[in-house]
Amino acid sequence: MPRPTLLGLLRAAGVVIGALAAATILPRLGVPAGWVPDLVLVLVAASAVLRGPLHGALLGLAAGWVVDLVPPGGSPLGATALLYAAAGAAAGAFHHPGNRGPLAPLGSVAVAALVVGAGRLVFAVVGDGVVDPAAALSRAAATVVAGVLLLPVCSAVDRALVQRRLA
Amino acid sequence: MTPVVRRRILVVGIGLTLLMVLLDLGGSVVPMRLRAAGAVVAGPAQRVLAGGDPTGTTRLEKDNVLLRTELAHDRASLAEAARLGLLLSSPAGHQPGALAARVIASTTMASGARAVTLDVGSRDGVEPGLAVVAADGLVGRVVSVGPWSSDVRVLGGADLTVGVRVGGARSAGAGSMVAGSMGAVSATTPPDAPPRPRGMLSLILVDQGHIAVGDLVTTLGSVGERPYAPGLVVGRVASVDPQRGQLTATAVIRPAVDPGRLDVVAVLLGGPRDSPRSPAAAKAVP
Repeated sequence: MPRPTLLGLLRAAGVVIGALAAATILPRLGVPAGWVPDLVLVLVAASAVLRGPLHGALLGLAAGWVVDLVPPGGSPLGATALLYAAAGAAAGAFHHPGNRGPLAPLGSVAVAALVVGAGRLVFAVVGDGVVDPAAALSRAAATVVAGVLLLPVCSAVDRALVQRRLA
Repeated sequence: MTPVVRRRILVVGIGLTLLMVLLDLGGSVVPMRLRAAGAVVAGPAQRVLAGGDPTGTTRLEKDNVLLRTELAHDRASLAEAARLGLLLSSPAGHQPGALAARVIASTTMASGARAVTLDVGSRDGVEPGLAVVAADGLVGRVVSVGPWSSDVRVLGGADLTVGVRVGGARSAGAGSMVAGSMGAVSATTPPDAPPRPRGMLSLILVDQGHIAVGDLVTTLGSVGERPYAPGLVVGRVASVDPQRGQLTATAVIRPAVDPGRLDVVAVLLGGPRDSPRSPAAAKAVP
């Protein structure tokens, strides 16, 4: 079992705070349900684009479980985890060592948001649920906007910790 | 960790997650336990994050919800008493136990249905299967309970169907005490009906009853008043589907409660009737 690193702890704390914010804080502040950004997904994509699809899928799976378990949670339990794992792998495909431009992370968040939105629609169709493409699109848009604001911070913290050998 | 080990962990993790999805769809108790564990850990944090209310309007809103709920129950009792008179010995002094609560979290699930979390749990007497109401009417049903919080499936999900009564005394003319037609309300559109606008519900009557636009839709009531007590407002008829030779009439219902704007609600603790109805008691009344 590898020793927990500062970066690992920060990542876990970020996922938990992101899940709580999306479920509790943002709706309480009056953000409409269709426009709540997927903060956890931004964190997953930000980490995946620096390390590749395998890391993205693992982190996405773990983060999706947190989102599924924070009340009111997801139904069926585990569906969000599978969607996030797929989204993390898709975001990791944008990983190119040496590329430090802002476009790859942004593209990874957009693709991850689209994967999750499309996955939710498929679940709704298969599960005879409420199919609402407009809400799915608005959620993806809100997630990309949150990504534009959060990605530079996430990447900078990540790189700084890696350079100081705290990762 | 080498990439091979990580790949193995990923495969095992995805396998376990798939298994959990199947278990949950199959109605197993394991996912329920896991959810309860999540509520134990996250509940207190969510209650703190949802914050207090410095203006005191929350207390007034809670009073409002409780009083309106009582009013709905009393109206239903009065109508029941007038209609059924001697035949039903309605338990005297039966008051609905209602517990005021606040919404502390909400989410749209993968199926598109909405779910909210309340700041009351098993320590306040909440159990799975109880009805949840807002000042305007029925919100939904408690599906899982933690010690400090409980999760509510909101009306409009594919898995929530409510037995209802439509119209009744008002549509039959004032003064007459005719009970309304029975039916069921759910989010699933009937096979022959036109598609519904977003947020609307569908009503299917038991037979060819009379529905008019604007008719009030109220709950039919359940055995032991669980989950639904009779007389809770579900919504109003927004439009009636054209007759195309179906056996039953269908209509579009505008729900009384907007699921996107839930804040203060009440959980109906209710409780079953204390004693069974006895024919002797009905005869004893003059």
